[in-house]
Amino acid sequence: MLDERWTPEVEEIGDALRRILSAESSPEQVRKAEAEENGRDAALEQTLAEFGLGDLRRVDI
Amino acid sequence: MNFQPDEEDNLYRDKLRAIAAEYGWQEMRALRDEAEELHLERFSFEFQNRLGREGLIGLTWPAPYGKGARVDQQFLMAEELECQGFPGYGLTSIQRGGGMLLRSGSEEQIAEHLPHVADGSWVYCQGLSEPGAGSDLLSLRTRAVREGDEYVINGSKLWTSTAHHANWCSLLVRTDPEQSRHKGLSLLLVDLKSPGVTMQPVWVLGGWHVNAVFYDNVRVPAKNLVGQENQGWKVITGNLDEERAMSFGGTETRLLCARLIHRLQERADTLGESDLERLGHFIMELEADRLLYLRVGLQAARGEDTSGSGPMSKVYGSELAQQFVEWAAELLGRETLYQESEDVLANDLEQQVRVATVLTVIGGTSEVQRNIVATRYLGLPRSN
Repeated sequence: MLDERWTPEVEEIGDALRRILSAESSPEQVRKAEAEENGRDAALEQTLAEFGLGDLRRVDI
Repeated sequence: MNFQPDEEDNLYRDKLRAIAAEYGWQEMRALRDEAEELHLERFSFEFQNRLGREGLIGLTWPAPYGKGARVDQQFLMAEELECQGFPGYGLTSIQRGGGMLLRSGSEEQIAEHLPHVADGSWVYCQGLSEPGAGSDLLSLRTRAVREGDEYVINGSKLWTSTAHHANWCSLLVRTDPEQSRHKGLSLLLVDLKSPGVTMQPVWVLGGWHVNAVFYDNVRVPAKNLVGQENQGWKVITGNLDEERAMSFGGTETRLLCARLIHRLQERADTLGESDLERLGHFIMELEADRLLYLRVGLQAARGEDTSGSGPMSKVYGSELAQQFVEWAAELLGRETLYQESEDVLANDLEQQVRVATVLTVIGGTSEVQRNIVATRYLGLPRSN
């Protein structure tokens, strides 16, 4: 049957990612990263890599 | 998430496809001529009756009137119908009448009407808008007064599509004059052959006509009240949601786009980069329109509120249809719009320039739809 909704698994990933970004990517943290020479937040990138962001394309949506 | 229909999903689409295989150019021409002679918007009694005989009307309704089909099965069938170029307006308008009765009608009303809806023998229209009220449906003044076992109706309606060939009108009337706006309204099924009903054609750009319908002391049996007295707004909002869930131009534009691409193959070397970019852009937008349209149907099937997503689909599809056909006419040469021609595609584009304009108005203007998206979908407050 056709279904336009995200699967519960995808919704769960979205919720988890939202929680991480709320905690570790506040406006202050973003401004701090912007002030860095390379404009990046190494700690956040590490957290997202541990979260498995790079593997998401394998998830069945 | 699944946008890949399987064999069972395609059950009725394949049935329609088999019917379509019987219709050659002459037969399709005859269906178009019928709609033109009847002055109706994409409506053919011949085709309507054929759908009835095949059991393809009211597919999602429960037995014995329908097949209890899933909404995505009906979606795919209806999509095939429009993509094959069949007149689809009749199907959606009479299914709306049947759907209203299944939601709000009495057992007697359902038993009397549904068999005739399902076999295509009765046609329904909606009497909603009134002269002088513009898009403000709730300022309606047509009155119905209860006298014994009857209601006596006085007033007039404007923009009533299909009334000149319909058997019944779902008429929204004011039954409590002390109330205003959405309160004090009732929904009556009116036999359009009743004494006191008269009509005048109102021609629209698309080439067909809608109607001004006048009700002068029209007597309607009280048993024709749908739902409860003074609760008509609840009844009609279901109809309006169903109407906005129709494809308003997007699906037929896909067919037109496919025909244009076929035509352009003959002169591909004359197309510039900007033409190709624009065409590619339209293909993406048509796909987005299809998904918006599909979402409304699937949400409705799950019993979810579609009062915000339906208008989104309506305004997107109708404005896309208008943008596409204007671009296509420009591409083929504006002169195609101003001359009688044996070129069927040019003629269809010329007609669609007019039809697409109408699509942005009927069923609620784009401005009305955007306001509904703002309040019902985004939850924004109403302006004062």
